[in-house]
Amino acid sequence: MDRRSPATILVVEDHEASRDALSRRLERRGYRTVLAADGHEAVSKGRSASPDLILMDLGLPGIDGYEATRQLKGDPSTARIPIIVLSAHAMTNDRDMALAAGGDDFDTKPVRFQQLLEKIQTLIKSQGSSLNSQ
Amino acid sequence: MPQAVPTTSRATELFEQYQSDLHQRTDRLFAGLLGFQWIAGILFALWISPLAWSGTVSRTHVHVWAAIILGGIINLFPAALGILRPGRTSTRFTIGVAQMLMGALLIHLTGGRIETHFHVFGSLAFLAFYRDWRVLIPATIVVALDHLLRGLFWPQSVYGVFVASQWRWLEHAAWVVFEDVFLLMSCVRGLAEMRQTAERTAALEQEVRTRQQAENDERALASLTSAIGLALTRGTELRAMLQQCTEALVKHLDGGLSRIWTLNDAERMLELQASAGTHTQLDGPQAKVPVGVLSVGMIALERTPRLSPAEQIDPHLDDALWARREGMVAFAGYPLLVDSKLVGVMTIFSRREYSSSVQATMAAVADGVAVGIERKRAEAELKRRARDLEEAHEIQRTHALQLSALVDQLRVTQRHAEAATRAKSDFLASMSHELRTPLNAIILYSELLQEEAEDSGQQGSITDLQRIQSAGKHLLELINGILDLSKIEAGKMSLSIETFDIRTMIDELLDTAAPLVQKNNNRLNVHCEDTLGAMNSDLTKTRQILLNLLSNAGKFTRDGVITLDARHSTLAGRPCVEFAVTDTGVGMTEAQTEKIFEPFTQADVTTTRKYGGTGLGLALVSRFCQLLGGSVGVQSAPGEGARFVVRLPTAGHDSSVDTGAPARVA
Repeated sequence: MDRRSPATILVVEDHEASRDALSRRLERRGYRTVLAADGHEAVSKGRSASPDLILMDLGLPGIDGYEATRQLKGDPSTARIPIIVLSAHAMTNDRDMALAAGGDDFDTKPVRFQQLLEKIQTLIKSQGSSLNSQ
Repeated sequence: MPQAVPTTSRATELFEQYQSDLHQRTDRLFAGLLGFQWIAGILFALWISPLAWSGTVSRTHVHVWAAIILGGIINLFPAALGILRPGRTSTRFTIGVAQMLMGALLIHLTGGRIETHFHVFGSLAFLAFYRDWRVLIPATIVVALDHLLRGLFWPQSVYGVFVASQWRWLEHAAWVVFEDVFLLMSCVRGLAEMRQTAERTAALEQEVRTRQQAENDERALASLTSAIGLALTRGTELRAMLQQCTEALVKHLDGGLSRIWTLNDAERMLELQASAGTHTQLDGPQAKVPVGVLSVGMIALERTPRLSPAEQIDPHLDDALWARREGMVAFAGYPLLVDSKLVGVMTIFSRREYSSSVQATMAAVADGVAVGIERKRAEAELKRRARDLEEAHEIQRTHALQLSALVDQLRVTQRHAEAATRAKSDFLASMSHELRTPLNAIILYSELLQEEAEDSGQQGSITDLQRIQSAGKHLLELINGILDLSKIEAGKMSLSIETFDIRTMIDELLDTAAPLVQKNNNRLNVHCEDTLGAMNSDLTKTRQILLNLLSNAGKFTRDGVITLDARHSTLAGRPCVEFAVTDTGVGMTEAQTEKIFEPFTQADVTTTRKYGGTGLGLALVSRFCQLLGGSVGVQSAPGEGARFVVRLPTAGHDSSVDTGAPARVA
């Protein structure tokens, strides 16, 4: 991976305004964003765009976020991409289910942006170091 | 040996019968003898002087005619009496006189021969057969008179001489009397022997009768005992059982009437239950007899058996009359006693006297019947109790069924309630999802616009954008609070129990809480016991509880002091940690403290606008404390601040408080 180029984040979100706002805030922080509005698109963009991280909404049309996460993590070409699952549901077991599906971290919506950024940086950094160590 | 006294009448009867038999037999004997004498007299006459000669002319001698006619008169009349009317005293006397007259005729016919006089002695001996010395008297008189008169006027006829001593009749009479004496003695002795025989026979008869009676009694008593035993052990009703007993008494004891009354203890009244014999109806005048009235009532009162002649029983009633008419002889009445407790009376009127063995048996029967009555009553009581019990069981069963139906109904209601709660909870969960999604966009955009405004120096819009962001965050808190409450209500709030150090938990908490507390220029004091140690509970919820309390205190206090105390204590006998949050703020009235832990019930509706907050913080504190097995309380007065005390168990969190496995809400 080219370390000089900005990291690419796949934002999977079916709510258009949320998708737009989140991607623009990430871009203001120097990230490149790729957008997906449903589960199928998330899986195909995950494969085609090779993002450095995926922000995965759970409630999606078509296949939901759990299934999309499972498929991406089950595909060797995308299995290494860290996924942060975002849920508007606040039930605690959403976290467990997201992690069980293969998600690397979990956060609730509405997003506390500063906290989310920290998680993103941490995961990308560890992803890079794990790649270097390989 | 049987007693002589009761046999006398029978002995006399026998004696008289013997005498009568003897008289009749002797009468018949004399009838033959008289007939024979008549013939013999005629033959004597024909043999001794058949003809009377007057020269050569002969004719039948007058003696022959005398023998035929006089002899006929003397002999045939008494002989006829002997045949036709034997046994009569007159016959006997007539025969005695006739025998002497015939003796006189024979003496005359034989010409006064002295040998013929022996006919008189023979006749007297024969007359003694009667064993009735009185017969000898007229006979002797006839002989004496005959000898006196004929001796005086016709000596040849009686003594066979033409001249005789005028005292010769005395000699003959003396001889006759001499014989009479012996005959009299013989008669008396014979009678005495006859009487003795009669008495012996009577005694023998009596003994045989007694023995037969005893055997009959024994048989009857055996039958009675078995019949009573059968009646008492048969599984019949009380009345049927007693009826069988009275019928057995009548049948086997020659009873004319047997009755059984039972005692109605409450009314002291004897109630007729059974009657057999001449009367079988149970509704007569003696159907109910008070204790102490009539013979039956007296037997009940005195509790002693009564044995008496039938006619002496209640003579003022018609009973005596009835007893005579029906030939009732004896009465026996027995009190029916069980362990000296009176249960009734049994009576029997009988057509014959009862022997002692019969009386003993009747007493035993009375005992048996008494026990039988008591047993039947006990059985009836048992049956009644069993029925009561059965009814009680039935009622209990009905109640149980009703209860079960009620429980079912309750279960259905509960299911409905649970379904409703679940539906509400589901609704809230999905609502919160639907609310969060646009809220997410609002907050993100307001922050984005703030950043952009800061970049372009548009200071004016920054404040507005901050207000949008703040309102959004408040809305988010509200949504979170409502969601938490609804999760608790729906039983879906799960606990994550772990062991953590209390002091560390407080220190970490203060990082977040300090700014909230100090924002109104308040000072925060924290007092912790040195030995707080660890507790086993839900860390997040414990923190939430303290954070909410501190935040609450900060909201209602201005330029004051807020204190957090933590120390060990006990709660319902179990070790706990006590957290106290004290402020010097506005305080509350008593009415306000009472509902401070209800959702959306801050001191008044304007409070939220004035002091901020969601109005859900203390409600959540209260619910979380319950979930963790602890408690929360508040002390306050207007203007004097407030003190909230939370007690949470430090160990062994009761898992039953756990609200169950979390469920996913789509």
